[in-house]
Amino acid sequence: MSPKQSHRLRANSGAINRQKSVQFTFDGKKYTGFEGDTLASALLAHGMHLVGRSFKYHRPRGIFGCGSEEPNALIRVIHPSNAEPNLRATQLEIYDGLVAESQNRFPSLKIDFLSVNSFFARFFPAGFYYKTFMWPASLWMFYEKFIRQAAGLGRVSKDHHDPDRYEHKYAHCDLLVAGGGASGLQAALVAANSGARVIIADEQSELGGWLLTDNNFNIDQKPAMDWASNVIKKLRSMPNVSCLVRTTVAASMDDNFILMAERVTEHLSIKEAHLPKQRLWKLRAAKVILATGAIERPLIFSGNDLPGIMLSSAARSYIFRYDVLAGTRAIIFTNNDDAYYTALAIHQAGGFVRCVVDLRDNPKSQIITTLRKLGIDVRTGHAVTAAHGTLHVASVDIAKYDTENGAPTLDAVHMDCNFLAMSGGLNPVVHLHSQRKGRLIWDDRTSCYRPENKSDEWVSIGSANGTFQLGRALSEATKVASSVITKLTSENKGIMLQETIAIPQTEENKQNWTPLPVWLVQSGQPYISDKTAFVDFQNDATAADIKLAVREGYHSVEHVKRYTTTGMATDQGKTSNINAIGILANTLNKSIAETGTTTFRPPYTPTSIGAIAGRNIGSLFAPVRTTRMHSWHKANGATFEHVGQWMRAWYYPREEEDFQQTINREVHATRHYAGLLDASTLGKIDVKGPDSAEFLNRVYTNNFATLPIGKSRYGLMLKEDGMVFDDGVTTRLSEDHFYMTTTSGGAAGVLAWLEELLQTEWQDLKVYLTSVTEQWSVASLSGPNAKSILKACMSEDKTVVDDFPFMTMKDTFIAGIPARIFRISFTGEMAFEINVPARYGLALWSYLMRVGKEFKLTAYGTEAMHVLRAEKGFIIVGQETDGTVTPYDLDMHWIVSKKKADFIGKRALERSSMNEPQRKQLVGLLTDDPNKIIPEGAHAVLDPDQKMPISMLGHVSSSYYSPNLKHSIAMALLKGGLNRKGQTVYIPMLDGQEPIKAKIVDPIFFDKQGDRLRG
Amino acid sequence: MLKIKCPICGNRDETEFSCGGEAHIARPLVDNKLTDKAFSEYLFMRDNPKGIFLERWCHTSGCRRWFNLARDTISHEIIEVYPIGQMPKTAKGKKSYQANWRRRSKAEAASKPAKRIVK
Amino acid sequence: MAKISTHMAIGNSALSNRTLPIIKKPESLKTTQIELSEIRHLGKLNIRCASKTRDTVGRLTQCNLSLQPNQSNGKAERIALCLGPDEYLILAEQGSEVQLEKTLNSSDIIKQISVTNVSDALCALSLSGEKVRDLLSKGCAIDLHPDSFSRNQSAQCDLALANVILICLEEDEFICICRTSFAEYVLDWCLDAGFEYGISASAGSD
Repeated sequence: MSPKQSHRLRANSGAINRQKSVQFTFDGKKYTGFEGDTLASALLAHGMHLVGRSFKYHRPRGIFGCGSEEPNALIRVIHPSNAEPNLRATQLEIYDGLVAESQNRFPSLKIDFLSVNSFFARFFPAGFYYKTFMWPASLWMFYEKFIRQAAGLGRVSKDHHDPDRYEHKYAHCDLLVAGGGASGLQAALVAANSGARVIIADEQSELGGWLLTDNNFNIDQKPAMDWASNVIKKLRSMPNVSCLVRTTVAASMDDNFILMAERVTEHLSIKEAHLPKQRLWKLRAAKVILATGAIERPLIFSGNDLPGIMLSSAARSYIFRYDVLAGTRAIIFTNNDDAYYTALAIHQAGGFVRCVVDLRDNPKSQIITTLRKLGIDVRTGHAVTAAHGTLHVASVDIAKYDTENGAPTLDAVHMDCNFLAMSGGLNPVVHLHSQRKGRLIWDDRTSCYRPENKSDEWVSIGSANGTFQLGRALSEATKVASSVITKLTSENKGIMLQETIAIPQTEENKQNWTPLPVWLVQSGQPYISDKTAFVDFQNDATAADIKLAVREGYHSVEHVKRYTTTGMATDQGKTSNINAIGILANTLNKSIAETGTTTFRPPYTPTSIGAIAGRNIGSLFAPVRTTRMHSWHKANGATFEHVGQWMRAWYYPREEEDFQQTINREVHATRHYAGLLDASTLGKIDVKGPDSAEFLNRVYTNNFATLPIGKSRYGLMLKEDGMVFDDGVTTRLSEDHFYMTTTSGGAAGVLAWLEELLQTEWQDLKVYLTSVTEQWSVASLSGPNAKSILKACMSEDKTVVDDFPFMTMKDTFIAGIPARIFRISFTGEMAFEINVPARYGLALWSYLMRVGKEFKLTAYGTEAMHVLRAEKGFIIVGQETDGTVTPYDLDMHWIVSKKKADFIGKRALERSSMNEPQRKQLVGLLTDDPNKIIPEGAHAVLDPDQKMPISMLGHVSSSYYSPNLKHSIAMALLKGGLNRKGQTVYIPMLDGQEPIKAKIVDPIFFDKQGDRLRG
Repeated sequence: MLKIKCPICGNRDETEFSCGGEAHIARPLVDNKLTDKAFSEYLFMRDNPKGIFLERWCHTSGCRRWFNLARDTISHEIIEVYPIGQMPKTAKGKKSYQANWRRRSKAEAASKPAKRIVK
Repeated sequence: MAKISTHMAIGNSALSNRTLPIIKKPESLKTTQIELSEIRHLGKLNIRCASKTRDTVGRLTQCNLSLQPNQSNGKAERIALCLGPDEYLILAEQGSEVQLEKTLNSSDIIKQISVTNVSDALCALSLSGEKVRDLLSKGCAIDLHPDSFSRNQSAQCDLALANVILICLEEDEFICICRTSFAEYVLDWCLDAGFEYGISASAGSD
């Protein structure tokens, strides 16, 4: 049987469903809560405060807040196949079967061996990591182990497997209202009534905001939540409104691009497989209203982090919303009126309010009188100077306090308790405003930073704007929403502001929202240190750390933040930032406005990587492009390689063949009989228009204006800096129609570059470019038998093949398929590139293979293609070139026209530095040992015995075993390489083996005269 | 992420576009007498102002058309979008055009026909 | 001499490598709410022409080309899309693009225009059903609200990691055009993203 919910109230005022109990497990023990509970409220219902150990000191920590501001209650949820760390217990809704555990404790929450860190706190002062890294490296090795064990928040699951589904959703709206509290609801209603497309999003499980947690106010003569329920009902019924709950507006970016993380199934016991765990909304909103509310600040005193101490607003929220009384003997510590309502709530719920301790000297409010009349001990001008306890707060010191001098004036009295609720004033949630570089203004009256509303795109209202009184907030929401809609009306005809808009009425709140800013309560006792007065609970940063940082010379708020790590934990300083700035300002003797504030950056709360990745994982991580012959390659056992996004047949191993044997067979067959390569991935561009020839003349280094119709020419394309950009064969199909091919990987880049030139540089040229890469399937047939095979395949005029000179093109039919056949070669053999409309690609390929069988035709892949071209010394752009290689470096002077007036890269090639003799130039390498293959990318040196660092000569760009030469061959880019032919170089190896010895040679290894090619 | 108003397709996300960097870099004429150093002003040197910058963008995922825009590099506000081959029309855009050091560079002078008489 | 079979003569389409139909839906759903199928061998001509030749091209192709960029008109047999100030895409009934190309190539304005057959370069997928907009909005950043993207509108944009042209035929009927080499990616993406609503993908017919 699970333990009793000893702290659950009888009253049924909240949002939990008493009819439905929910079983869950925490740290191995079974508990029962109710539907609507968060893990935090359910644990508190059992009187459990202690839920975690702190980051650095492993101090016991309890539930502190009631929402996303929670710094302490980070827990790990165990799913059947994985685990999720660092979820906030205050936001996690419980469901049947939930298994959660505490974090940062070893071996258990109550006994934590690492809590000895607390006693060694002097090891972890401000700037700990910076200082540690400054120590001798040898010491760091020793400390690292220790720190790794102690530091970090939570653990990820071991196999990193995340079985859940995450969705992305793009959306557009006229208005996003971030936050579904009173102000947000009112703003959304005004906008929705005008016909605008409205999205209202709130991170909680239901709309209502603070109204859900308070019963002190009326709106329009009804309890505030009744008003809210009506508005919510209305909004939900409107087709132009989307109400999103459990949705955190995580980031606000340029032009109102908003990221929202919606938790879809996290709270459900049965998570249906087709629903995503989370949905990441990518929203573009015309206007944004920020109604993100405010977060209460803690007060800073020694021992303020003990379990049993929480924010006053949270304590009240647990009473009203979850029917949970978090503590029965309560101390209230405050500097404003609001916490008195918490005292009242505890009193009315049957708790014993031992004392209300108010820092203010002589506050006058109705609520104080009310409390005194109830017999509650209210001590004004007093402070809680310290809290004591081991695993839970057990007593506090209360003393008369001089806020001017920051010290107690009389000895403290000791008072026992089991609960302390504190309130240090409110901080508007300005994160989304600040993310957009919105400025913040310090408001002395309310002691908070509020947003400067200057933007036309977004505006803050209500508590988020420092307007804490309900009545004023509702009126502000109405006015701001009306003016935002008026602006939209001019852009969008469908939107029309209603003529009369009623502002909801509420009795003017008498609450005094002028807190007395006391940033640090000093105990005045030498034995009580402010090293346990915590500012940032999650990162274990104390008041002492901030003071130390100042003593060590850090005065800028940005520096102090980083040095002390205040505000840098997963909660991003939601409860700590302003207190830290306050203490810093006091220490520096400056005002807060002078001290300034840090910038908030997205996301507002941690967003899971799974949500960010969405569907772009696994097989959908990147598009895989395949050719029309892909199914044949697959059926014939091809191994594939990725070339850009393309999946190309790499080699076709037969049974028992290893990689090298396969390549040797494919290369040998192509040189001696015939080989067939799927070259469909080559980029293809149709160049049309009267100025096509002139255009090509300007983009290639060689002459294309003179290219006769039906002829092909190899061209080299440079960028304006003279470096090789792409290469390929271009054929003139008619006077004003050229068919350009590019490298497979460069296709998109080449088309973009040519378009750029046409549109931005040469607008006078009439040329149209169309990508036809996928329009044509290409089978490249090469080898001594290529001609015979082609002839056997020709369906009509077979004599076409007889009269087919090198570098020409024929428009004909092959096996009844319309085809463009090019007699060009990348293997150095007699070769034909057969282009057919892609729908016939597979038919052509299968047919060629069938007919070619008697001619010993062999399919070869990209690896054999590489070997074949390397034997011939043909370059591959991107392998022999890397953006720093000119045609001269490749020893391709012949391709650079001396006659043409201009082409892209011409002037750059003429720079004196381009003729520098020690530029890296392309050469061939022959290893001394014919069987030793140099690793590609390896560096070559002249003297391997030179003292380190050895001077590099250059690198190996391509390296293979050539079965035709029965010798390893390589191409390399070496300094002054063209004048080094005959010299010996060494290639040092990483793995300690002997350097490979090689001779510098001409990069054409095979058929230097090109007789085979011309046939 | 910026919202960019493509002159052809209208408002689209920045991810659909590619930025071509500084606009109005004129290519020197063929028969220029520029030294290597002066030519490098055209080839390599790019402005990077704090404030209004005139840039070229291409709607890569959409109509594939190039256009110019004037953008504030501090606020990311796009002040105007205007066609390739034309000058900015806003006062801020014009000012940025004139303020660019390139207007006084030898490389730019070498991009204009010599005969042209400037009034 | 070996002849290629009749089947081969028709040729393959972008999704021929896949065994279709594929149905993806949660067990809780009785029917699928999205239908996807390839419009096999749909004729596609990319035409570049300036405004002065536009009407002639329109007459020769029996299309109304007085369109703004990202607009389309026509249905079923012949649809014209404007892709840019001087660029059009004509979708024509299977096989009819050959004659269209011939007509244009033999016209006297051919020197002023450019006609490129891209029937095999691009794949047309038909997407229909009441959840199509929800499906597309998972990967497409443009505003797909019926008020913003309605009949006769088209958009060149990204769908997940593929570049596509979306054409709205009716409120819940779309054509999605992508490069053929991306067709399998688009199919797989749609199947995964459409699972939630129930999706059935079929090969389409010739």
